[in-house]
Amino acid sequence: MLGTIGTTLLHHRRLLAVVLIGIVGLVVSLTFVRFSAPDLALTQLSVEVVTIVLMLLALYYLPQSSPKESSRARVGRDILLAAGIGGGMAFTTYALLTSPFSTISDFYLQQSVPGGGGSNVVNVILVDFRGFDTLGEIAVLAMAALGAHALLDQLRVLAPKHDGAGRLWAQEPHPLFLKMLMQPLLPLALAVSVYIFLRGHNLPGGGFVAGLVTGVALILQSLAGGLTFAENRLPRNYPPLLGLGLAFAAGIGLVSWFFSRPFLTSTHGHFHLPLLGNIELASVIIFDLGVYLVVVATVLLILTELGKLHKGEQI
Amino acid sequence: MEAMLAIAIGLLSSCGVYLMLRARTFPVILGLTLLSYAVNLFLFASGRLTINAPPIISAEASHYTDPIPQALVLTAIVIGFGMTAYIVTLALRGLSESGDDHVDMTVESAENDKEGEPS
Amino acid sequence: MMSFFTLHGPILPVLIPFVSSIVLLLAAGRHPAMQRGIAAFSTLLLLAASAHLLRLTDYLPPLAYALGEWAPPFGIVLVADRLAALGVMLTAILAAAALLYASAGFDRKGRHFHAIFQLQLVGINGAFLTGDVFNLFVFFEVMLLASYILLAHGGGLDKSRSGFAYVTLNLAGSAVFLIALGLIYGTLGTLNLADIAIQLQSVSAGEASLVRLAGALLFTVFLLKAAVLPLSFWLPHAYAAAGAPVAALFAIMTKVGIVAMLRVEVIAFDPAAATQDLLGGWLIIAALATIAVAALGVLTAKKLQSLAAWLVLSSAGVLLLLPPLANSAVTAAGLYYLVQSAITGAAIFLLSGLIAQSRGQTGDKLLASATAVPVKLKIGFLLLAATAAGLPPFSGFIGKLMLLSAVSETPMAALIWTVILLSGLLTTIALAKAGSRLFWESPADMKTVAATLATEATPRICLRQTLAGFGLIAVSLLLLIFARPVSDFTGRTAAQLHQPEHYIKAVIPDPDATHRVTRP
Repeated sequence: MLGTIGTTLLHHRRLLAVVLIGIVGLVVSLTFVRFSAPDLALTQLSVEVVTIVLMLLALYYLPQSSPKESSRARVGRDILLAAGIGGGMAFTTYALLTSPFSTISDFYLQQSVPGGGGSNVVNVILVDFRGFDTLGEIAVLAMAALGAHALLDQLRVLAPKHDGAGRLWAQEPHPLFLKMLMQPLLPLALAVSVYIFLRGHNLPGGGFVAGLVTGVALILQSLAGGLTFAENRLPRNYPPLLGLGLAFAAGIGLVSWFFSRPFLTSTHGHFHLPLLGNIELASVIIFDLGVYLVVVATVLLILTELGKLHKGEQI
Repeated sequence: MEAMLAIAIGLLSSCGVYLMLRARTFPVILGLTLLSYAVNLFLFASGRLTINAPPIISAEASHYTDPIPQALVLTAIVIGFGMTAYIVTLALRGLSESGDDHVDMTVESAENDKEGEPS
Repeated sequence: MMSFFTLHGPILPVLIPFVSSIVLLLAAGRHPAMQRGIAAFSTLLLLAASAHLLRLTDYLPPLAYALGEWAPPFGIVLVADRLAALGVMLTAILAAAALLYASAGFDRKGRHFHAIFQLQLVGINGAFLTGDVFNLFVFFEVMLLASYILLAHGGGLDKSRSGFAYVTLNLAGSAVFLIALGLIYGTLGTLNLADIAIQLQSVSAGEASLVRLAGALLFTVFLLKAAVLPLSFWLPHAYAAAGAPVAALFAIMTKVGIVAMLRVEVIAFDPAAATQDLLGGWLIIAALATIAVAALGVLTAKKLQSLAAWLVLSSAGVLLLLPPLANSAVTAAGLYYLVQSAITGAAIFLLSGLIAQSRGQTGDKLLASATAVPVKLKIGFLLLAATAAGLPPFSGFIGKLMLLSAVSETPMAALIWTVILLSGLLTTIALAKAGSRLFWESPADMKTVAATLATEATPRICLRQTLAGFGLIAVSLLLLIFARPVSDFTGRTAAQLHQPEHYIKAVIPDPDATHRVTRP
């Protein structure tokens, strides 16, 4: 809460504000942990990391501080308006939280294992019960990436040579320390993301978080190794990858048409595989794989486009 | 517990609204982020607050928290992330084309501003 | 055994553009001609699927399509009734014209135009068809993000500037939408529209105020999308800044807000005692104020495209009368007006693009220009202006006449009549002035004329663009010739909508079977 106030008061000093907003995000994810929402906490945390990296990259080009230009009357009016809305929100929340309600949610708890084939109910809702929402959601992500790509395509911003206080930006682009650290860390991070992905149907995790972890690991790698280093090793053309992810998710939904079932009908069963033993597989894992691919492609596309901007000259 | 969360949501949303009313793109983006925290917490709370009962089916657990709001908030977080990413690039684009990061409704006022302040 | 196309009919208008956007992405960066081909093929399929759905809904009760085969209200359901089918059909027609116009070169001005265009159609059609309020939120977001990107397509200062404000405003709208959804779920325990309608019947006194707040917030969001005063300041700027084909497609977007509002009001909120009086006289006043401001905007516009944007706002104002009146006869007339105003609005956007192109540097500014405008464009403008102003015998006149006679039974009839007729008069004056400026006035200073004529190459207009513009004009004339069958259909649409029990029964046949628990 203090962080929130801090962010508001300090929004003129932009770097500090970004750090503080990161702290607020952290507190939000701790709140999710406290109130029995591990999936949300994981997601909030990983989104937070990517958002902060994004804002810092953008801040490199934007002015470092906001000039104070609002008149006193305007500030007063805005504070009044903001306080009114905040008070209304607090009151409404309290009124809502202290009254009981009757809900359909028991169905999901009962049907998650027999009907959806997974014990993490939130994940089963996302990929199965309400999979159509998730399809729209990854379409939004893919569009955000495409939109950023289209906007930044021909754009070259002159990067500032000095920071706000007139100090020079460091010219060695790739800190040795980070480089050393990332070499063992990258395979580890990738392994973690595979693990998070696979367990998602039964324990907190899933395609979205796994995709963000992979994306962040690869971005860190390119920060450590330099853009040219990364460009030589990563695929260059992300839009088809976005298409592939969407194709996985929509494709598995279309398969159900061949069984005269509605779009996105899922199935699951036990299979006996050599070495791995008896495992349970659900068709929605393909759907989740599509989510994973879209997320990885989105993060990489946006962040590398932003990183590429300053290849031009400095002023 | 309920009162504390309610106050936190109220505070987050008033700070978010205040920042959104600023004239520069960067505080507006910060404000949108704070507002989305508040809204996500509110949507999450619509399933009421439960401690130590994650919605993961197991033999030991006796009761579970409401899973629907969690799934909705997850979707909302992801959509919010996409929107934030896009609006950040939009702000950068505006910067490169006009030289400052003012928020304007019209081109006319943008031109007036340029006359007013040397860039 | 239902046929494949009947069974899957409701989802085809969403899936066809979705799949084609995937194919377009997989082929990204290669063969621009192939991209156009895929987009064109998909839009033709969409036209066919929409026509099929329109026919199906005309003789069948509302079709419910349970995604993932989860029974409503647990899974997401698409509901194709006549209103949804009408919206989807209208979208397909506008999309075909906009795409044809854009394929003359506009689509090459930036990346990913075709993929985003198809996703825009996914969002609009999904919003028309879905029967779940959270899913409606998701499709609104798909629609809005696509519209931001299309708005910025091609770049330019103008677009980024009005783009940022437009995006910020809509993101704030999305936040309000989510708060409303939280309140709805937190009180009624469901997100399915039909189930909401059932639950609203038995709201306790303690919950009533929270439910009313939820409804008020939800309607605020729809009003923002529908651009009612005072939430309308974004529309003229945003629409005037978009490229002509994009603006033509946007002509349907304010209608999405109105249709969503009409549906939620008539099916869920109006029949329930607790929320019946939520929309009332205040919204009628706001709608009339929107019409009045839009008429002034039309009078003072300096460019033809901004004039068209103000016209879109004016028709949005007229259509906003439908939800608060919630009356079958008014809805029937209003839906005819909706169809013809969307077509006419889109046609004016395309035509203003054509006129701008033929006048070289002067563009679509309402000033005299040295270059003469081709006769066919003059005729096109004349037809559209007469339709938009509501002059007899054009379809705009029929739409307004039907609406005026339908509202004559309602309490505020005199006021509504006065405002609509005055706005029609002002629009006529403005359009006549614009036409004479554009086509017949010659610049005072002949020296500059010679100079511009010498420097400017003869502008070329692509056949596809002309075809797109005049295609829509032809549709608008068809609406006049077939006024009877079309208004009969909107009559049947309104009748179906105003009997919400059909809709509810199609989605949830047995409300008592839904298992509920009470949570503290």
